[in-house]
Formats: sequence, C-alpha cells, structure tokens
Amino acid sequence: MADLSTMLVNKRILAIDDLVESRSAMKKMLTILGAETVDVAMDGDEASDYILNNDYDLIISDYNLGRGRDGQQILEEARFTHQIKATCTFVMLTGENAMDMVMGAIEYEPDDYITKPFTIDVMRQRLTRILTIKEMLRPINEAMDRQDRKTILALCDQLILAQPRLKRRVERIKGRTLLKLNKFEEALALYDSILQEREINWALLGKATCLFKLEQYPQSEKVLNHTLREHPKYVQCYDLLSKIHLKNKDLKSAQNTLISATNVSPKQVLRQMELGRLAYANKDFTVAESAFKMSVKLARHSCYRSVKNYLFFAKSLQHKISPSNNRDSRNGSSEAFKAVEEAKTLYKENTDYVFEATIIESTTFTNLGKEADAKAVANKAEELLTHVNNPSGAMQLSMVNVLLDTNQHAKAQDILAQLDKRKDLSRSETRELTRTRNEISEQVVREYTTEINDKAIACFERGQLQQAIDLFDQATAYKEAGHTVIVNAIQAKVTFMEQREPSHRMLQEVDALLLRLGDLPAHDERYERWLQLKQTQTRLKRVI
Amino acid sequence: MAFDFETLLSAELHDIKNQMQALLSVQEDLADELVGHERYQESLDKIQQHSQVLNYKLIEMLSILKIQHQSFEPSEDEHWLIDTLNPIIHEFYNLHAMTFELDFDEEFNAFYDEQLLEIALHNVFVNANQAGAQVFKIKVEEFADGGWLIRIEDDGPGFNEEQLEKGAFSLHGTKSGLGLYLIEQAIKAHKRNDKMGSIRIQNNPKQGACVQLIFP
Repeated sequence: MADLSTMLVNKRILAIDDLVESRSAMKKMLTILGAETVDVAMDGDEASDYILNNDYDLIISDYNLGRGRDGQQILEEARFTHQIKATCTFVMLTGENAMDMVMGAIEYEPDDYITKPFTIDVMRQRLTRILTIKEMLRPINEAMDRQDRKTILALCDQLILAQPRLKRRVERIKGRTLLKLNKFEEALALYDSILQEREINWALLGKATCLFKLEQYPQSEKVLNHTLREHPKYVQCYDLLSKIHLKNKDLKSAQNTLISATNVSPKQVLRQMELGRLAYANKDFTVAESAFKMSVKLARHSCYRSVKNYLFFAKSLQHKISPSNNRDSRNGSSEAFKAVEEAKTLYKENTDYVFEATIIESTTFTNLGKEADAKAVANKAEELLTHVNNPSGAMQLSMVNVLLDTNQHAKAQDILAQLDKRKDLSRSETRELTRTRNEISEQVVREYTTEINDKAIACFERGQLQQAIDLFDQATAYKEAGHTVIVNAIQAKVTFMEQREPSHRMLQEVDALLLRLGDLPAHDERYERWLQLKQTQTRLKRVI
Repeated sequence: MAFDFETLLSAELHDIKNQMQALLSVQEDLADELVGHERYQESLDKIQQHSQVLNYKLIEMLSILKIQHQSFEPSEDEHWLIDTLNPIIHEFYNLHAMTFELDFDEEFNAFYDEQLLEIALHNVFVNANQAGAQVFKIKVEEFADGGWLIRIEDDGPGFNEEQLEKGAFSLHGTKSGLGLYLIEQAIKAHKRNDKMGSIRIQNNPKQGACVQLIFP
C-alpha cells in the first residue's frame, strides 16, 4: 500500500469535533501522519461554512457533535447539495454505544467508520486503506461528479476484473447507478447474485427497491420485513415500506412504519417531514405536531429548511388551542404564533408564504376565541392577497375560510364568486369549495343578517345612528339580505340625513337600496313605511 | 418518570471514551516532545503501556455491554484483516515483546464485526501470553462457499487433555474464563445463510496451541 504521508501531504482536510481537546488532538494526529492543511470545525454550522468555502479532499467528523447537527447530517447535506465531490473522502468517528447512531441513506454513507477511542496506529492503518481504495475508485467518482452514468457502469465492470478484492464496493456503486438509470431488471439480477453469496443489508435494500420500482409490492415488502428482522436499525427499509403502504392506500400503516423509523433515527429531517405530512393527512395531530416540531428544529440551520415545516407545525398545533385558556391551549398558541412569526421573518420576501402564515395566525386567534384579533389579522391576509399575482385556488379557499371564521361573509362571498369562475381547481380544491359552500347555506346567512339587523335596530332605537348604519351596511352587503333588512337600512340612512345633513354619497346609497328592493306591493306590511321613505328621499334630494 | 439508567450510563461512557481519546493524544504529544530525552523514556513507555491496556479494557467493557444487550446485532462489514490485526500486534509487541509471523495475503478482506474480532484476537493473545507463548503464526484459509478462518498457532505449552476434550466450552471456568467466553460470543455472533461462527482449539503436533476462529 502507498505511504500515508505521501497521500496526505497535498490534501485539504477538515476535522470536525465538538470537544476542543479532541479537535486539537485530531489535528495533531493528522499532522504527525503527514497532513499539512487541516481546518478544524466545532459544530455543524462551522463545518458547513468551511465546506461551502473550500474544496476538501478529506473530511473526518465525529458522529456525535453535542446539541446541533450530527456528523451524518453534515455528510448528507454536503453530498445532497454537491458541496463536496464524490472524490472527497468522508470518515466518521463513532462512539460504540450511541444508540441513535444509524446509517443514513445509501448514497450518503461515509467512506469509512472509525470507532473511538482509537490509537494513532489504528488511524494510520484505516486512513491508508480508505485513501488507497478511494484512489482506485477515483475515475468512477469523477464520472459520478459529471453524472456520466454510462461511464460509471463501464468503469465498474473494469475495476471488478482488475481488483477482485474491491468487488463488493464496486458492485454497490454499480447497483446504485443501475437504479438511477431505471435499469431495474438488471439491478435486480445484480443484487440477487450478491445475495446468493451473502445477505448484505444494502443488497437486500437494493433488491427491495428494484421490486418496488417493478411494482412487485408484496415481494418487495417481504424482502424488507426480512431485512428489518435481521437488521432492525436499517431505517431506510422503513421508508420504502411506508411507500408500499401508500401504494396500497393504507395511510395508517404508512404512518406507523415511519414512526418506527423515527424511533430508531430521530434526527433525519426529511423522514420527520414525511411523517408529519402523513399524520396530518390522517388527522393524527399529536403525531403530526411532534414530527413537525422536530422538523423545524432539525432543519432550522440546514439546507432542508422549508416554510412548510413552520406552517404545518403551526397548523398541527391548532387541535389543542381553545378559548378555555388552559395550559395546553396557552402553550399551543404561543408555539403556533412563534412558528408563524419565524416563518414570516425568514420568508419575508415571499408574499405567498407570508399570506399563508397570516392565515394560520388568524385561525389561531379564532380558536383562542379572540374574535377581534382574528378579524384584524384576517384583514391583513386579505390585503396581502391583493399583492399576490394570480393567487392560487388554494390561497383563495383559505382566505374564504378565514373570512367566514371571522364573520365576514360578504367578503367571503366575493372570493367564492371568483373561485366559481376558476377552471384550474384541482379535484381536492373543488371538493373543499363544495364543502365550504355547504357550510354557508343561505339559511345561515339569513340568520346572520337577521342577527345584525336586530343589533342595528337596537342602536337605531338608542339614537346611535352611525353605528346602526354601519351594521345595516354589513347586513345588506349580503345578496341574501331580506326586504325588512333593506327597508331598515334605508330608514337609518334617511333618518340620519334628516337629523344631520344630507350627502350625495348617502343619497346614492339609498337610491341603490331602493332599486334593489324594487316596488313593494300595497298589501306588504312594510308598504307604508317604504312609500314614506321614498318621499323623504325625494325631498332630501331637493334640499341638497 | 422512571430513572433512565441506560441513558445516564451511555452518557458517562461517552465521556470516558472522549477522555480516553484525549489521554491517548496527549501521550502522543508527549512522546513527540520527549524524543531524545532518554531519561524520561522508561516512564513514558510505562504510561503508554498502561494506557493502552486501559484503552483495551474500556473497549472490552463496551463490548460486554453491547453483547449482553438484548437487541444486539453484530455490525458485519467488509474489512481488511491486516488493518484489524496490525494495531493489535503492534501493541503486544510493545507490551510483551511478542512476535508475529503473518502468513496470508495482505489484501485479504472479509465481512466481520471489527470490534468483536478485536476482542477475540486480544483474548487469544492474552491467554497465550499468560500460558507463556511468545511467538505466533497467523494464517488465513478461505473456503469455496465464502467462509474463512484465522488460525493462530503459538509456541506455548498448548492446551491440556481436559481442555481439548471439552473444547472451548471447558475454558469458561478457568481464570481467564471471561476472555474465552468473549471470544466465543464474538465469533458465534457472526452468521450467514443459517451458518454461524465457531472456535476450535487443538495442539500442534510439534509444540504449542492452535486456535481457529471460523467465520461462516
């Protein structure tokens, strides 16, 4: 094997450990072994900065980095965002008993693990080995960086012949590449041949993936269940199993499978997000809440950060928020407001997101029984919506629901009218629209306008004419408003102008109401009053 | 809420491991700085010897905790035997001046749980050393079905009749019982297609003991 110091001397190296002694020890050890350029980082954030600004050949990270992200997350992010090349070697240092030390996704596995505590002898031996292997795999990894998959396959076949001892490692890359090229039959044959010799966990998962892609769901499920019995910590099997349940339209099992996976590996953001979405769809808000809470926390400083996490978290908290002011409700609402605020701050440039966050904020106030706040925030959302170019059907629907929740039926009706004209609603949006419509039947609106009418009459009788007019305006805004309400509204305005002074605007408003009412028949109980009001209106017009 | 001793224990162990790692590293520094200062060398050697034993004992303890855990699964991965073996034989050479003759392809690699094999090898060497062996010969044999074995021969007195008769199991009751128990558990944990690992002990016709660690 090649000499380690020759291999290390020209390499740009990053060492990541949360403990200061371990960091300097690692740097020292690497220097003794021949390294010249070693950067050190103390946590995920610092490591990400270094990785973003440098082109590393070798990264050595402790798995457990204290409170922040762990080594696996750093690796996944760096590979996911292509900030490190396939030719870069990533070595993970692990303490043996870390119960939540699990393998990441196939493509995000480190090149090697070294178990702590280790002596310099062990480090020398392992680094020499892995760097030698990595060098032999260099052409393949370079092709990987170019995403030149055909070349990868050709090079794999050559290397298996030239270096039989690397057969398994190369076959693993080959299988992965065949999957990416959608050559599932070929990949399946490869995995089967490997499995005949030895049941290697990645080959089992590879086989299950092929069967899944070939839509042989029961067979895939069988392989996965077998793999999980043998390797209970191989969490990616749960992910695929969950997808099979989804294909079978068994959402509950899909959710439970992901719960098992998150119990083994709680720090994987994408899985927590998927679990949250499934649980939310299943209306299992307790599970959704904890999954989204975890997603928000884990993704906060990572490339997986998404506004959806914050918004879904706030939404999944609503089930415990009520006007009762109990502790659950207090905590729930304060967490929801916090999530909404964070989303608004982080994504302030994006009006769509701010709108969505504002909608949830209003709903939270409604659930707390704070009607005035809910309404004020709903109006903010309404304002935001006017700034959105081509708002989606979903946005309009959520606006309608919030307006209805804050008793602004007239405005809701306007948007519903726009929604009716849309031709681009998805099936679920159309269902939602029908549901919303059914909830606000004409009867409900009439009851509501009658209620406002009663309040307005009370104001009128106390001589609070302006308040009465405002309330009648609200009631008559509904096209369903009855004749009595319209006559009352006319009376309030006419009386106001008689007692104070007439105005063009109000006269026009009265005209519009009279037109809307049409001619009342003589036998109508409101006929006399209507006639008198018409005359007063005519007189007022002459005065002005 | 019930007190979670396991989490506590695991946190403590994590700490101890980090401390051990730091200690090993400070030693390396010291050794570096003391090059040429002969009068300190003897003490330094002793410190290094003790800390290596301590380090090994820690790994052994962790493995015992690991094996006794109900959900224990060996993590069999592909390793190069020479990488596992070299640090161990260096240590025994430094501590006890034991010598090793390696008679196998340096590129030999296989699937095994590296930590478990380390435990097994360590115990084999400690036991042999206690019996008085100094020179070791290590061979590897590969089988057509993918299985393989490591054969370790030494120049010690060999096993007595009773031990040979009862096989490895007989050794559980001896002073070094824990070690042999661990070797057996470590090797038996390796499984493949309904087969499991085993150990076999015998004496060489000329002299010394021969231990075979057989992997499926």
